[in-house]
Amino acid sequence: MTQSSPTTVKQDTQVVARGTDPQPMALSVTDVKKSYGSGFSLGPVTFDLPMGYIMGLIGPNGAGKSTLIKLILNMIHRDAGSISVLGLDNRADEVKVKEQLGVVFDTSYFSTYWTVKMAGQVTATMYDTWNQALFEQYLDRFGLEMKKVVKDLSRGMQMKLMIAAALSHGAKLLILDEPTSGLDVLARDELMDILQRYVEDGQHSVLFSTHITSDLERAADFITYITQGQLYYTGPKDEFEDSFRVVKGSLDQAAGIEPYVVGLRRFSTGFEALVHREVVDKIIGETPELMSEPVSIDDIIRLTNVAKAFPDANEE
Amino acid sequence: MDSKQINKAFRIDIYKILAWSSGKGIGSGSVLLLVGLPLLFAIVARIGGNDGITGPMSGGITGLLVAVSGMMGIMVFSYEDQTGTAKLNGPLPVSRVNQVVGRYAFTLLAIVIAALLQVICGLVIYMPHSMGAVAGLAVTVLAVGTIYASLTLPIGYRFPATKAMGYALLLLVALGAIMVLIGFTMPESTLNRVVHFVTTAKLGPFPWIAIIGIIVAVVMFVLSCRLSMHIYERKEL
Repeated sequence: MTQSSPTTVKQDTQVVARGTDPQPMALSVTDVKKSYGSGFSLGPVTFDLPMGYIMGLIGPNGAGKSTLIKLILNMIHRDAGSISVLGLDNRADEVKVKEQLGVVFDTSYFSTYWTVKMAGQVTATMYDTWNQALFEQYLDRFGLEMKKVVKDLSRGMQMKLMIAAALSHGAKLLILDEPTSGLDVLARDELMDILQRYVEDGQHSVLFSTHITSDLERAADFITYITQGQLYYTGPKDEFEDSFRVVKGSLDQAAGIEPYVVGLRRFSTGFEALVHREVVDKIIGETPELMSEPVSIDDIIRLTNVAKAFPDANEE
Repeated sequence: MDSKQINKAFRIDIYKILAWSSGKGIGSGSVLLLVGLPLLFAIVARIGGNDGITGPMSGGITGLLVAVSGMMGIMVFSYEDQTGTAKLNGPLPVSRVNQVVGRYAFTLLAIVIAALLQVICGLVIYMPHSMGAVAGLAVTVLAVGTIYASLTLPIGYRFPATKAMGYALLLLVALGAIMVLIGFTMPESTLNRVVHFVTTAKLGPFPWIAIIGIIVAVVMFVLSCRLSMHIYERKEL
């Protein structure tokens, strides 16, 4: 599989957001690299999440999203670069940083033997700023009973319990790794509502990784897209979608557009190709029979992870 | 080191073991058995009332208390592995150094409780005679339990939980085998002289064998804690 050239958009370290006052960064990741003996390497990755916004971290399985989240949490050690959370170094000021983070992983970190009440007690032990009343409000809202044992909760309910705990200690930045996996569509909508309300005051931010791009369409302000360990894009969500187009046509028309293709998928009846928006007019000008359409985030992920040319392996 | 952070890590380890020992984990019946078994041995030894029963029962109680309390720290690793709570150590606002100290403090608490249980068992067996033996056995649990924990805790930080538990059990069996081997190979008269020396030797008013035992245990515990910190600081969670 051939990887197309990444388009990297690095945000300024201070951006003008929601008004004219420069906003501080909730999270700044600069030239971070991490390599494993297995051959997988991440980075260099650079992106900024301004305070008061939601950023979606996207990419296919094995792209390095969870590795990046673990690096931010200092659960694994970076080989190079720097990470600043709420203006603090994530290693030198690790404890101060973690006191202000709410974290949700893709699987429950609460013991399967604990009750919901005990999970709350443990989280209250962890954070001095714990708000028991708020926690109980979230439990009511999510339909979680205090006496229920974690192992008897469905995966979706376990996620809700972690979300309730993450939201109940005054965290300034939420870091969520696949928080919507296992949640039904109503619960996902509810979570997106909660996240949007959470950032409304401009003092809170969210970084969440997901495979479910409809969640991003609804809630994310920024997107960071990683594929095969490399940063492909970081920046405003709308610009991400606007910077590409899908061009469709019959197989005999494909050869002419190959130089412009970022990713291409061939079918028995024709092809669809991802191209940068700025070359669309030129392509259509040369071959007016081709059709150009706006892209979804799913289209971009799908077509940036296939070959540019027409190998048989790409055939559906 | 930060006492507030250590306290957080310590309390979370207690939550982990409490939940494990509750009805949702191994069950409170198993815990009662674990605590009740030494007491049962002590009562049997008391009723038996002769050296043929008292000696083996007393040795069994001490061995059991040393093994269970010394393994309590490494059992937390096993518990974390079984329940997925190891991930909780990632976002926990406690530095890795303080997480290690918290776990060592938790293990030490388990050993102190075992030593107190040994005192109760000793009183049941020996009261009102041989009160020196009661104190001696309690110090033995304290010192040997601490030494055993000092050897096993770094293994818990270095290896995956299942492997670490295997190594800890292997170490326990090896230590037990050495004791049995000494018992079998040493002539009885020599063995009796050694036991008499260890249990009665005093330098002036001080039970110096006990003092040396405690000092060795403390030094090993501190060195072990430093080693665990070194390992855990570099570990990828």
